[in-house]
This record gives sequence, structure tokens and C-alpha cells, in this order.
Amino acid sequence: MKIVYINQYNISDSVAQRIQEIDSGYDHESMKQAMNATLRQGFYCRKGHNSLPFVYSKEFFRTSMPDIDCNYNKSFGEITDQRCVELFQSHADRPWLVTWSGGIDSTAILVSILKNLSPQQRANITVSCNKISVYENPRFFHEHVRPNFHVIDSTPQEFGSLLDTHYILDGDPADMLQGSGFALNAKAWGLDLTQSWKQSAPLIDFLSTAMGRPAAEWIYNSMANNLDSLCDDPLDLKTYADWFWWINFNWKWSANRIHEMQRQPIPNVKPYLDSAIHWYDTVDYQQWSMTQGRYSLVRDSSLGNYKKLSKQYIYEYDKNAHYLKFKTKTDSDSRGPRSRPTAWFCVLDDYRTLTLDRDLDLILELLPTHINQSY
Amino acid sequence: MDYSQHFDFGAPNNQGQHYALWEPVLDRFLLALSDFQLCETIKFLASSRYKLFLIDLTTAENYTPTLIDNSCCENWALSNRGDISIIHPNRYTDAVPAKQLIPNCTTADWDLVQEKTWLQSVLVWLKFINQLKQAHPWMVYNSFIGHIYTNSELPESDHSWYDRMAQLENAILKVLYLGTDLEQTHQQIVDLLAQDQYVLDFWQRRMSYIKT
Repeated sequence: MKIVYINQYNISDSVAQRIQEIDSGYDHESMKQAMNATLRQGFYCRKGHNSLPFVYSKEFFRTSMPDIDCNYNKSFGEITDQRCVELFQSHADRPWLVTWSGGIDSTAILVSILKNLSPQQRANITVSCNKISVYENPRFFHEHVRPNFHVIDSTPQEFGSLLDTHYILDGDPADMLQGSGFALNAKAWGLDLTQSWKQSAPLIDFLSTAMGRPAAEWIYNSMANNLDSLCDDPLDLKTYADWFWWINFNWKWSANRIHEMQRQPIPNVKPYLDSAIHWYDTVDYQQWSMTQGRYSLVRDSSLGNYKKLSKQYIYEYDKNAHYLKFKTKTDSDSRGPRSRPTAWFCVLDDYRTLTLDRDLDLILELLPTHINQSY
Repeated sequence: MDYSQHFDFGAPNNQGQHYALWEPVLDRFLLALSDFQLCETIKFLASSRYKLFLIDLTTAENYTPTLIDNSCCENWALSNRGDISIIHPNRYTDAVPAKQLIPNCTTADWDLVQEKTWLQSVLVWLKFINQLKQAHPWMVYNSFIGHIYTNSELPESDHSWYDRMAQLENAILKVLYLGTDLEQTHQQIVDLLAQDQYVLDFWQRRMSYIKT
């Protein structure tokens, strides 16, 4: 029995103390501050030297990172159309519940469904959303969601009860594909994204504005260790823009794709892993990100161009020029109050979840094998 | 319809209040107004097009009452855009105080006249709704008696007109919220007005008053 995943943002003082007993280099405060500024779930290293405190479990996270195919040339639209067709072929045995936030990623999913499935084929598809989703994209709701789908309110939704009967489709981990919103902030702050990430001072200065200097130095140095191990990789990770993309693509990918699961009060995550379909979690989207998507912010980092390629895909269907031009990133936290706090602390290799209140002794006992003692 | 006949310059009011709605992608003010509540309603109605942030112009160091109005607001922005977290639009329920007002002389890759005309048209219809509410004696009476009794406590005939007007207001707001084309939207609203002779007469009287 071993731990395969920890919700790192919720590490308590007693757990932090235990980690420090095993690994004296563990800097709890810096990691917490870094996570507060970037991702409130956790960092797991998918590729290169693991310079992070915890061990990554390929078996648990299922989709691994492919090696880059430098000749990969499918467009975002081709992949998104193909994703819908393939999903319908492989997952037509249950109704689908699509969680629509009104944002760019989940709107692109609905466009793909509307484009690629007939009304008869989508008869078993329900859209889950709330008033904030409508506020995010009212015309799409009025013209495309309401006329074409059965709609339910997502606010009180706990998907646990639907896991045995539905496939639940979400827009994760799309935020990890097309550069990082954090990079946009860095550019606005004055960082030239085309410069080498090895120039540490400007990057640490910027990061310090978001998370304090010790945390900025911790995350920079940890990432430098990882990037140094990949210096000969054809990924060619050289610039600040690469640095910001890579922190998402390598470190944040795994936790991001399961963050909704953390809010489900489920004793065992296996039904969730089997029923949840993270639309953008495929080898094709990863290849696209490595060869094309990662450069979109570098080519044009103006505010309205965030996820421009996804917006272009939506525009070709709905012809909403205002959405194409003016839709900007909206943080999911601002789409209404978080309805449910994190429901559990960690997952075991038999998929059971443990909570700090109930299972602290067991967590402390199992912790050592999850700690990366080689970094 | 020619909305220029209704053009509102958006000058400050007698209390000196002066606001503008700022759009972050274009980095420009698209409308200036003195009425906070109207600004807020327009911000929400225009949210189907873009995020607008309500800015208090009067706090800027270089503010003068005649510096910015609706004839030139699209050529201006604020210096402290960094104070506005654009990814958290719902945080801003109050006006953001401008520090400096700065000219934006870049060429916009978007039809600014079209957007300004759209927002002016929204303003026209919001003012019309307010005037309609004030104009009919029944509306004034109903808005008062509504504080004393609920609808269910009053005879049906005493509140049906009030309900009809509330429905009309909602229908107009919906057309403005979801509308895209100026002429089409105008026609849809006129069609709504035509369903009630009193309302239609009131609108036509206002039109002829403006033309003379």
C-alpha cells in the first residue's frame, strides 16, 4: 500500500513536519507560496530530473508525456474535431454530461460536439452550467446551448452520484497547452519573454512580486535543475516563454487534470478516473502544444490573443466576432464561489482516498515512499 | 435609426460625478457618464460583447470636467491599468479610481464608432425606460403602493399595467443584451413597444420632440 497522489496545497503542519524529518531540504513555506501563486493543487514532474519533493506515479495519472514529434502538423481544429469523433466511437455506451463554464475551453468542446455529431447522436448529452457560465458567454448559451442540449444547474452538483451512469467531460487540462496566463502577467510586468531563462535575476524579480523572494528562488532553482537535465532534448527549452509553458506542461499538468476530483467527497477515486473525460488530455493535444500551442503567446501576447487558436475554432462555428476579439482569460475562481472545499488529502495505489482528520496516522506512516529523496 | 439625435456627451453632473467604461483589449474608454447606476447597467448589458470596467475619472491627477466626454473618450485610457485584475472581472462592484488619464493615440483594429454608437443606443433605451416609468401616473402610484402592499394583496386590475411594464422592461433589456446588429435591435424593440398603444404613443411623442 502506498500513496500515489497528495493534494499538496493542503499539507498540514504535522504532515510538513514529518516530511522535513525525512527530507531536511523540504521548504514547506516556499512551496505553499509558490502554489498559492500558480496552482492550488500540486506539482508533479512528468519529464526530466525530478527536482520536486514528491514522486510522480505514471500508473495513477495514466496519460504520460510523449516525446516530441518535431514533424507534427495537425491543427487545433483538426485535433478537436477528431477528438469528438473518436470519443463518440469509444464512449457511446453511457450518456455524457459536459461541464460548461462559458469559458473558451469548454465552449470549444461544445462547438466540436455540435459540428461533429448529429442531433440524434447528441440526444444523450446534457450540459451542466450555472448563471456565471451564461454571463461568460450569453450569446452562445442563447443560440447554441439552450436550443441543442438538455441543461442542468451545476451549482449544487456533486458528480459522485453520476459516476456510475454518465461520462463527465471537462475542459482540463487546456490551460496547460497554450502558454501561460502567468507569462502574460510577466510580459505586462516588463519581462522580455524571448530572453534566456538562464538570466535568473529578472525572472526571480518578477516571481517575487507574486510569491515572495524565498519562494521565487525555490521555484526558479527547482525548475533550473529540471531544465538542465533536458538541455539536449529536442523540446528546445530556452526562453522565459518556454519556462512558463514548461512549468504548466510538465509540473502542473497532472494535478490540473484531476482538480475537480479533489472536490468530490468520494471514498475511492477509481469510478471518477474511469468516468471523467478530460477533453484535452490526449497525446495529440500534447504534441500540438509542444510543436505549436506553446508559441502562441510568444507570437502575439496581446490580451485578446490568449487562446486565440481555440477562439478561432469557436468563431468559425458561431461567427461571434466580439467573442473572438474581446474574450479574455477569466479565472475560474471568479466564476462564483467554490461550492465545495477539497474533500480529501491523498490517494493510495488501490484508489482509496484518505483524509487528514480521519487517517492522519496512516498518512504519516505511508508518507516516506511518496517523498522524492533523490532531488 | 439615427442615434446621433440622442447623443449624450457624458459630461459630469452637478455633484461632479464623472465615470467612464474602460475596455481592456482596446485599452480605451468607450463611454463616459455621470450616473453610476446607468454605468453599471450598461456594463452588464454590454458584457455579451466585452468586459467593461467602471472607472472614476475624477480621482485622476490631471482630471478636468471638460477633458473627456463621449466625443473623444475612445482616445483616452488610464495609467493604472495594472490595478485592475482583468481575469477577475466580478471583483469590481465599485468604480476603480483613475490615477492619471492618458491619451491612447494608437490606431484601433476595430470599429470604435460602431461600439460607441451601440453603447449610446443602449443608453437611449435605458433612459427611455426610466422616463416611461416616471411618466404614467399609474407607474408612479404603483411604485409607491408597491412599498405598502404586495401584488397578491391588491386587486388584479391595480397591478396588471405595472406588471406589463415590468415585462416590457425585461424584454427590452434582453434584446439589448443579446443584440448584435444596431438596426435589427432597434426594430425588435420598436416591435415590443408597438404591443402597447400608450407606450408606443409615448415613444413617438419623444421622437417628435427630439426632432423639433
